[in-house]
Amino acid sequence: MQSAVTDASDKATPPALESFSYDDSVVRKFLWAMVIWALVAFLVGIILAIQLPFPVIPGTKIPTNFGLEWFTFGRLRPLHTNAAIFAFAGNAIFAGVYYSTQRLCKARMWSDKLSNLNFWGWQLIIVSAAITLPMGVTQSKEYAELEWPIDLLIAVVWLGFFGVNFFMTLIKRRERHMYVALWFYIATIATVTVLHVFNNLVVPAGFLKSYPIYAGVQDAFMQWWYGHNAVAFFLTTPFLGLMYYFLPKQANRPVFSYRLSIVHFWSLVFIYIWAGPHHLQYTALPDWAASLGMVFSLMLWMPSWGGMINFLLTLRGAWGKVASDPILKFFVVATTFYGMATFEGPMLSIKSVNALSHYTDWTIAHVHSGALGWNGFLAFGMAYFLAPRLFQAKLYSKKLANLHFWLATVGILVYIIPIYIAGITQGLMWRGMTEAGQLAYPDFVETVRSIIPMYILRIFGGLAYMTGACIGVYNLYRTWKARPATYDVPIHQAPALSKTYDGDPRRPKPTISGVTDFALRLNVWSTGWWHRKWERKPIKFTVYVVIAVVVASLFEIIPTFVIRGNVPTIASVKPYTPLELAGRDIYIAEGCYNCHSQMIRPILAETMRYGDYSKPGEFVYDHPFQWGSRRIGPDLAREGGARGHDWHVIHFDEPTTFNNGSIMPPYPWLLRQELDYESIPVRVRAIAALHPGDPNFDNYPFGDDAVAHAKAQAKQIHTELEEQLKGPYALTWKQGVDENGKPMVDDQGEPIMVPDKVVESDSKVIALIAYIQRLGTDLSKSVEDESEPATEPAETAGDTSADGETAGRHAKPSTTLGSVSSKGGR
Amino acid sequence: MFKDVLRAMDFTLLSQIALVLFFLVFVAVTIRVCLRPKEEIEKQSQIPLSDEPVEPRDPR
Repeated sequence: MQSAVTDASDKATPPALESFSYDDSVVRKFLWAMVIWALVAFLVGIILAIQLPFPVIPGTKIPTNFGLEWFTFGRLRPLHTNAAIFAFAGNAIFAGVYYSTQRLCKARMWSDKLSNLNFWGWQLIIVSAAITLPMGVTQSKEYAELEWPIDLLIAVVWLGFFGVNFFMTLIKRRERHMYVALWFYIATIATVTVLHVFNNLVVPAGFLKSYPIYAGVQDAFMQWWYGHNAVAFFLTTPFLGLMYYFLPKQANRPVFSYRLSIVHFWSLVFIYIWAGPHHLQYTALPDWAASLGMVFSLMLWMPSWGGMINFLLTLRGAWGKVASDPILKFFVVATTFYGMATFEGPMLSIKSVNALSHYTDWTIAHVHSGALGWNGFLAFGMAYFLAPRLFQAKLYSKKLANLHFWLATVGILVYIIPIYIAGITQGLMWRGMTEAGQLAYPDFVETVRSIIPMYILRIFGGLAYMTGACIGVYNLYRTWKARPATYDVPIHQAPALSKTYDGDPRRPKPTISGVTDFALRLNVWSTGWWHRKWERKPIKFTVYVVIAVVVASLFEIIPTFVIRGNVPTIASVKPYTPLELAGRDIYIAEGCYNCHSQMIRPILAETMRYGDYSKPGEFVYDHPFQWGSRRIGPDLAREGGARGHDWHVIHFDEPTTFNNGSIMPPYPWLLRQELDYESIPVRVRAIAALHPGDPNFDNYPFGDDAVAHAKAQAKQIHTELEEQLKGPYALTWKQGVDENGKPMVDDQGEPIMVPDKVVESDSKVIALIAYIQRLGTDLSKSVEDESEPATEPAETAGDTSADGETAGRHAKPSTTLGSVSSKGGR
Repeated sequence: MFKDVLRAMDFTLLSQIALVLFFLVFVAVTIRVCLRPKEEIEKQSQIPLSDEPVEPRDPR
């Protein structure tokens, strides 16, 4: 401080010194929030890890969700991912950014009020997520599950509170140069805003229900443009910024190459945004987009490894310190996992590798090496760095910190190694062929059974990691207990930045002569004098980052959307009927997409197992798309008509009835709960609003007609179901009971037997079956056969003869309320 | 009309242009960073280590 003042006063009028202190109380709050939510995220993760290999408590018939709809895998998995990403990593980002930004800018955060609004607003978002996700309130887009009112809150807290506070601090900073960590924070704030807004454009259909404006291919594209960049700009760039601050700080030496860090930054900003489509290799996404995603993913190898090497070389000559310092140990392992995960990511984007890895646990192992290793270790290393400084007391126990480190390291390995094995095993089994050209493992459940031991091992890995985290939290707690009665708040002094700055390089003279004007200009430009100016200008800098990100996005998005007219439209693909739409919303609410894909890739083993590969034109009414990303259960893209209603009812009630070894939880409440018919009109209206001018909606039932149509279709399915339940699947029979509760008898006094599985026509399962029986069937319908969604459902109900000629597995045009009679097997 | 033009376009070319464009940016950034004076880079990399401004306001 002193030297700076003297330097300045030596020359001209001394600039006025300003006194300021750093706001560490908000950092303390975020630190506690980070560790508490970390434990929640890990706990939910362990519950999920137990639910997969043990759908019921061993030796009993009690499901591991305790028969409660709020705790099924499908509903808890989004809670786990959201807690890990937005609650644990999110609060870690805020803690680190609030701590380092103030110190890098030599300025207090611009507004304490905004800091606190940021903190409490973010916790409110997390609590809303923790309540709504188990309730089945979801948009079903991975890491963007939260419904529109919460999304609005996120936008306000992120940009309005955090963004404004951060940028105003940059503007008011007292350090001339913005250190590279700040660049990473700028990119994070700007890009996450863009991603969040454009992936969550929806049409509300009620307070906690909405449909995205995109459908099918476009929706999938937008989702994975968002999903991948949530990883890039929420789990990578902010953490890189933190690493560029905390690693040099703890090692007490500058980063190995500041130049490399700049290249690292710009490369990530320019390249990451393109990589999203690699999540959709071999799907119905246009091939050029997927290929582009792959090429840019491969390009990411260079900057990512450049960054990793930069971190590791920062520790050159300090490795002796690493052995004794748990904080540096955490940072080194975090860097190592950053390197591993960023090597593996591009590798998984290679089409031939992706063909094997996609839908398997390989992806799960990959993300956990990133989340637990990179984000987790950096966050905990940072917590150990911050605790003594924030609580102004010596860290309670270095020994416990070391124990945490080792437990967590072993925990990660015990988690990821079995899950890598599980992923590759299942991938190979899915594609396994006999010499006769048949599927080697035609029964999907076989491939599940083979990986159960790996699932069990994973539980121990998760437990070890969580135990380490608990020890860490205890260590922080004891450190906090030893805090002084009042925190010391040091006052710093520095002059404000002047509005004009003479230190900027001026436009240099060209160093060459006798060439064209253009060459002269190029010569001047290449000296880079202009970039030096940008770096001091946060707003301009942000604008340039946004341009880089948006231009890259538009290069991919515009063609994808223009192709809307280019998607080979399929005349026989029609909108869902009101009942099917309601059933689809149940499918979404239950989180079925977490375990079942609806996207058959054009790969022999897949078409043999599931049927004809999925076409882009099949999904034009899918708001949101339900392609899924993981096959814990089989693909359902061509499930329609494959089995009878009776099979589905019994299967939902108790999945192991038909599949010994199935790990799907029972859904008995679907058979009991009534469908909410009253919400149907607003749902169909919202979908129709997204397809203006579509002739398929000309004769579509709206309002009360929609309800009547849905009820008629439900009645129809129910009638068929009753009939089918007299068949082989009606495993148990019991004496019927009449309206007065008296046992039913026939004329001869013999008891009238009815199937044991009785569901009412207004139960949720009927709507869900209506949807499932529709899946993938439109493709094989003949167009002439197609009447509009019946305006007078009673007339068409039960009329199955018309579609008799389209026999086979996919023989059911549900829009005409036909019946399902074919029972295919796989 | 506009739609017809767009439909007739070959988007694979667009993606190739984009690839080349972004690769050139990468090269430009790298070259530019390498050209930067060493003292300046070293001064900037010290910022997190120092609790005082490394490069405070310059006198007018």
